[in-house]
Amino acid sequence: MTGLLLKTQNNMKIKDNHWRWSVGLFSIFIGLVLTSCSPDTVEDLRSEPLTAKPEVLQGTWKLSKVMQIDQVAVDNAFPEAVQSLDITDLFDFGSFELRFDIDDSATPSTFSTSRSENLPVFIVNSGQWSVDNQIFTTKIDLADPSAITGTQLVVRSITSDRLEVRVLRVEEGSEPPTVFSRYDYTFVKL
Amino acid sequence: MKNRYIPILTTALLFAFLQSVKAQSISTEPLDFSANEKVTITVDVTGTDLDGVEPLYIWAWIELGEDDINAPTNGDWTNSDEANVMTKIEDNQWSITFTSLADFYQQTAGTIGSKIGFLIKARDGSGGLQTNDQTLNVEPPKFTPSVFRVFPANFAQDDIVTIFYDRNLDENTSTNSLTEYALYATALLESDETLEPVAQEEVQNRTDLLFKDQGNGLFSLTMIPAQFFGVRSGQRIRSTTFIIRSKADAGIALAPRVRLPFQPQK
Repeated sequence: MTGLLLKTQNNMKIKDNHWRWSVGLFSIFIGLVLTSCSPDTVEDLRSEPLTAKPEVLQGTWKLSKVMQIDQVAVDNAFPEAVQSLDITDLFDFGSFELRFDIDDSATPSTFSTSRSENLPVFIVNSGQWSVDNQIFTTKIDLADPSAITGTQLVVRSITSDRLEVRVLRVEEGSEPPTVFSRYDYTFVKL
Repeated sequence: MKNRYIPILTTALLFAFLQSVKAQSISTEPLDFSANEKVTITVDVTGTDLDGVEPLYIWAWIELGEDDINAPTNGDWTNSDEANVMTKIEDNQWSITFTSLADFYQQTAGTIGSKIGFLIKARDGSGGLQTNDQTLNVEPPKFTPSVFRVFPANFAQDDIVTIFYDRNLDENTSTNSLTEYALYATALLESDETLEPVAQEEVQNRTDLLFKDQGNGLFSLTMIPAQFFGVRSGQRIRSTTFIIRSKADAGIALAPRVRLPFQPQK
């Protein structure tokens, strides 16, 4: 009988310890969760993907950086030093500005560009623009009535003050299309 | 007990040996190759099911696990494409040469990766007239530093093009000791007209034709071919010829380098 009593008391002690450990661990877990979910992070998660990109894109963007990429070197996994070239300072790229306008319903409407003479930026001059998806925009199409074809900007990143796009250079008549080089353009909002 | 297994083991080893004798032998020239190099595959089918069968065809693919990519010229299993026919060297010895695996598979070296697979078959492979699957290792593409390099390797006439000269790799003592390098260039149009924006004797007077010293023996010059050569609207460049030379002396120069511009999709 005494033995049984002792055993029960020991069990209660063990259970009591388990309870204390559980409460302690749960408190630590809640603390970690609360610490990691700071208001900024929650705000970022809520706002970034759900913003309609035409509204973010509207306005004037100034070209700030141009990288040229050799697709052959990339495809062949050549050393990074020969895959790309920063050509920002080789031409007056800072003179290039791209303006996006939207209509009353926040839909893309017209775009226009300004640049110094003969500046080698592979973006058509002016016309209508559109996006493949208002929120999850991956492509911006620029249609210029005076050009044979428009320009497709492949979106790398869009934020409120920075736009990174890519223009692919494709060999004429290649099937499947063969990209032989590309230009990565970084714009800042004016 | 153990002795009971000896005949079984012996039979199995003999069977394996006979199979190996029957298997075709394969060789490549060169022994190691990348996806961008010319390679010849030679097969000896003596003693196999293809012994005496003519002609033979290669059926090839890129080894990518479950997502293998077949060569675009394989054709149908019962009717191989003539593009994949092999060349008979002598009885039961066949070979096929690829300018490059990238051309043959119509894929980049990056997609081809490190291994290709193939088998040899009769035009109609339905009767079991084929070898077993074979694999060959593909070396990573090599970048070979050179005295003269154009960036990007492929360009259109309206692209931005940078020509690099690496003095460290130049073994010619008359050119690798210079301090100033200039460019003399011509372009041949599709209309057979040759454009020479600046004559050899005028190059020394043009600062815009001087290479920029990037330090550590590397020099570069950037241009847009269409603007540099004065290409008029509607004209297309067929080829360009670049000569890196002494600024002052046209007689001290590297050998001419010819590059063919691409035509971009409009």
